[in-house]
Amino acid sequence: MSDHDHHGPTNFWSKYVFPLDHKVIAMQYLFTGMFMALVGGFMAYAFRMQLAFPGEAVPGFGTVSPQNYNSLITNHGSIMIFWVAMPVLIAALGNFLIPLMIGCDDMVFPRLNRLSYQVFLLSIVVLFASFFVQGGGFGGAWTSYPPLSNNADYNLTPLGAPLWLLAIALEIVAFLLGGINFITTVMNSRAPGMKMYDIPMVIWMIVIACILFMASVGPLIAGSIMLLFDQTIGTKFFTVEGGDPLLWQHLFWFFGHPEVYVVVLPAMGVVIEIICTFSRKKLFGYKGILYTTFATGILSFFVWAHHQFVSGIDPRMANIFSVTTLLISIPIGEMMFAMIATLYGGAIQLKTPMLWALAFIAEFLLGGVTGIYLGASGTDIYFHDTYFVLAHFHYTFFPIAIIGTFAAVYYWFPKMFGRMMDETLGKIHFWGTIISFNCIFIPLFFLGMAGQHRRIYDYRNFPDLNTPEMQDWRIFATISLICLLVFQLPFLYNFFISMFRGEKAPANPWNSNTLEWLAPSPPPHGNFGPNLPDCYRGPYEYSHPDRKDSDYWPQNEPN
Amino acid sequence: MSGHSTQKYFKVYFALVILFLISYIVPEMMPDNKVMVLLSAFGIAIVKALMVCAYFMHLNTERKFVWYLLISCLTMMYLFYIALVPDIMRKEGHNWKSHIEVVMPENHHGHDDHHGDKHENTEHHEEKN
Amino acid sequence: MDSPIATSRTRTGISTGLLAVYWLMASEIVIFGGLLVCYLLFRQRNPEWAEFAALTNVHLGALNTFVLLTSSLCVVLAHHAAENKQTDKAFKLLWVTIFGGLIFLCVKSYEYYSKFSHGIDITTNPFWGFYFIATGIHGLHVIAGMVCMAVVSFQAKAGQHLNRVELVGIYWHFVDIVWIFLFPLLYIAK
Repeated sequence: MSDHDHHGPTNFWSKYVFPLDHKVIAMQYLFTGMFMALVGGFMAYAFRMQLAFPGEAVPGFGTVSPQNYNSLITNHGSIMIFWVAMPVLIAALGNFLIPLMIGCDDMVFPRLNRLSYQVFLLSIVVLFASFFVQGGGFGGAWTSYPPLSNNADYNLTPLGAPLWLLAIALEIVAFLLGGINFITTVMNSRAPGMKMYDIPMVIWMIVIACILFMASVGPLIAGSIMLLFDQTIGTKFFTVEGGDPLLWQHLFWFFGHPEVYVVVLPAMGVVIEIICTFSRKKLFGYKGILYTTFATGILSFFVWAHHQFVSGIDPRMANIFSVTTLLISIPIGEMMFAMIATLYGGAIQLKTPMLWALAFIAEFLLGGVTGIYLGASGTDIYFHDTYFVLAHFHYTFFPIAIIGTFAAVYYWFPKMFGRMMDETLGKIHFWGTIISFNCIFIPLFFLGMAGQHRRIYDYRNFPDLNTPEMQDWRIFATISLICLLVFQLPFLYNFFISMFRGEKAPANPWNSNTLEWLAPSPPPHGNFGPNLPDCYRGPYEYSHPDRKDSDYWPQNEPN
Repeated sequence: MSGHSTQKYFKVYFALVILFLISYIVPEMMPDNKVMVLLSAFGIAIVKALMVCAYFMHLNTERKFVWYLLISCLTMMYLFYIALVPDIMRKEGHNWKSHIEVVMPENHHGHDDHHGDKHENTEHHEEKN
Repeated sequence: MDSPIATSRTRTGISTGLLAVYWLMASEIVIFGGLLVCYLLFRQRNPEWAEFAALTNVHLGALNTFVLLTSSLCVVLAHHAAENKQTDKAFKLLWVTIFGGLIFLCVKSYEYYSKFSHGIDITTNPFWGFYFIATGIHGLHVIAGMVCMAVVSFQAKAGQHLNRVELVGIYWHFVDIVWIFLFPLLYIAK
């Protein structure tokens, strides 16, 4: 049996550029994801400026041509989902938290871990290459429907389209490799005594998300190979002449729907951790939430055609998918109720992470209820492809990718960097972001109800949609977006300055129970030193009546 | 020390070879009998796959969890297939007809003597009910 | 590089490497499954594909099936040898398996060559598109398996990481099983 490595890497290259340590790899994913968020946010700025002030040159970008516009919205969507939400919520948080929270020294396959990040980075290089080739970046929407996506005569991006598809394929491979690592680590390497119901909820959520991802992405990989060959060498799988364009839609959405649950589950896991810690209360219905999550995961495979209600699918299938879509709101609703029940009667501490967690519940609720109108195929006939859909999914994705991420960053920053973030700046960032966010998207619900179509570059071409009232709301939404982007500056300042000059953080600044707070802040190589912790109880034993002198009861303490 | 356990592997192997020969010869002998072709080619393929899983991969002595995992994935693919059948598998339904015209390209058939006369034309006019 | 302590823990009773290979298989099932579902749907929709399928060489396909089956036997015997610490025997059997993979690839290459020389390639029509993609992706998996087996064979010969013989064997069995289904789908069904 080989010796375990106690010393760790010694030089800059093996420590930071080619790391094997899960915490460093997590930071690579986190910083890359944050950078991509800035890129995606800039794209949103450019296209929203075009919508608010059509035809005028956008400061910092230039004039937005129709081709530019299509490319901006396509890449904004793709980047936010594949290169921001997934790397930060699953790869960064999973990599950082899993070994720490289950009490071991690293992932089971550190070299596979490093390889996943390298493939992920390669996917970003390929994506950026697509912006600079002749014809520019792909503009066929993140859903990439053929025949637009497989025919360069239609999409005008003969190089951009295959490069975009290749970037997505590489990102998928990176997450498959990472997923196998995460699942195997959590299944096999838990601390002695940590039984199934002692695993912190965020870890369960990340593992279930990885399983959902792995199970749903297969047909899309097959379809992507077919689409790539259609684009590059002239096969006819998704053409009208020899194949079926509708097949791509099914392949894409069979993955696309579970994908949204892949991103929502880790965000909910983060929120659960935070609300338990900051209400000093045990999680309400741990087993209920767990089994509901399993049910949600399984059900999520049966709802995908609600994205295709108006594509000409068989109406009998539309009936079935309507029913399943409305059904799936029940388990999600149950999880929200469980979170609220956890808060009820708790000793609430409104620290910055808690503010973000509470905002998640409120905003995601709005997103969820607006989904009901879209899940019913009758109303969806009107709403499909309008801004109502767009506002709905931003009210779900923004809480997931942005609010959930900020909640996690503010909560685990002391553990990651050994210093505390500034609370005042945190609160300014919070309120600025939340108010701006609502100001952007509430008007978009109303614009959607008024009939505003998606993916239109200039509404002056549609007189019915170009009334002064509607244009005023577009301008209002765009100005709110600029406010949103400006309010990220306090965060960036806070984040980078606190890393070096924040108040030094103790190991457990929030008095939380889970095992990661046992390690020093920041944890050294090997996390816990020579003796890895054992687990004696569940993760949410706060304010336990048997424990008189303290309102929390860490998992590793024998009594 | 190729003792008793390797004997078991050889037995399984010979069974697999015999099954394979049946699945290969029967469709050659009766290509028009769809049921026999299906049973022998695909039915035997399933049996062979299960045998390789159970005996070569040792899944019959492994924890049941692995079977459940692999069978779940297969079941999901089957459900995916069923959900797509109404849309993709058929060219027409009660109230619709596919207007996709399948045109076989010319001169790619090589020595095939159905040269270019296989055009699958679906009707181009709307069928109103 | 030494493994972390995490790798040696095994709460499920299944060793870590084995668990990971099974999860890998699960993800590959949905990938190949997705591709074959698309093929089945198209095949049933276009009955005229039967005549294209008649052009695949069922005898060479059968030969390949037999070759892979035999190589599966060799790799499980290699695993058995590794379990009994017979490192030289495991090494030889692994290389016999690799040789089987090589024969498979040669037969495949001959098949591809004969198709190309008759003017049939991946763009001819979607049936041939599926044929080349399915067998091509499968072939890539065969090559990957051969490379892994070569690496593991040298480690096993030195007496290290003998558990990896089983892991690479399971991967190879999976590759064999995919072919067991590809053969009737692409060659026999007419």
